[in-house]
Amino acid sequence: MPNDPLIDAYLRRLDHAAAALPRERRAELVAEIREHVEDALRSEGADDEVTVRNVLERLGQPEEIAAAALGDTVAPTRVDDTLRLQPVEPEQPTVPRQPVGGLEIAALVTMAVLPVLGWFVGGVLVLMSRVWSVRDRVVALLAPPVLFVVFAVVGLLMLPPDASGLGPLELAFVSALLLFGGPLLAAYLAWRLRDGEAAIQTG
Amino acid sequence: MEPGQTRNVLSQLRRGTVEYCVLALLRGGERYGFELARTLSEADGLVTSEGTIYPLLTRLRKEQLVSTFWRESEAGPPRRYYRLTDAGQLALSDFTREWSRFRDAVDALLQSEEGKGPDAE
Repeated sequence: MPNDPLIDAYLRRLDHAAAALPRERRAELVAEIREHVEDALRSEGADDEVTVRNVLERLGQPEEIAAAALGDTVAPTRVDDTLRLQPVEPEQPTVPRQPVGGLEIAALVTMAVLPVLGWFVGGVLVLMSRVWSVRDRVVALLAPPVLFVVFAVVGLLMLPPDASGLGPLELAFVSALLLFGGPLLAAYLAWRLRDGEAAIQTG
Repeated sequence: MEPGQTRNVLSQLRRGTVEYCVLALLRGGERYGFELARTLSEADGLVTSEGTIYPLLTRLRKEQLVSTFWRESEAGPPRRYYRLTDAGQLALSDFTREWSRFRDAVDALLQSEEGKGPDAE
């Protein structure tokens, strides 16, 4: 890849114009366009300034690309689609983004502060909230019991048959789970809220 | 009719049909983004800004009409390839059928307008 200042400037403009996209999607878009430029220059067999300018011109204005991406993110069902057929699989109904309220905050705090019991209470609260996607809600509800079972099985396997009680290693495991499990789960859910995609993707 | 109207209608038509053209291009096997963008922009300017194909591909992927995978290339880093899913195949054949009917209906009316009545040859 020629480290062309023209290309860099173009990609920076794109990144800037796509600022409203979710972080991952934005990075992906910039990477795709970068890849396109590389492929185009390779197929031209040249990377002089004129070729680079032509390739960028054919791509279109960065703002136009970002707008297309934003249009698809914000309004998945477009109104101007007179020609669009019924999708084969019914589209996921896009739940309008729900505001984050007391329920969500209570769920996160309970989960983060109160080990074990808080995880289950928080899990139920998360399940009641409509802000998180189905996947996030399943993760929130299943993570504690699954982790618990995994730790129990691993602990039993590691325990020598004649041991009585827990060794220092097992104790460290259990306390790490108790101390950090809840805050980690809460942090994940909070991050999904911030990401802005949580309510849109139901898969 | 306003002068810009025809161009406007055509751009609406393009926008509505280009995703099916992408699906059609994938009928013959998997392709990567640059190939798709180039082919579409060279097909009578079906796509005027090649970059806008990427948001479109993302949507097709989300709608599970296409799937993606990475493949090594002889020169350079691995590329993301697109391939048609079964649902994409189905959507494409639905569209192809509907499009033929639509095109024939419009053609019939446009051509009958050229002669003075529907029966004129």
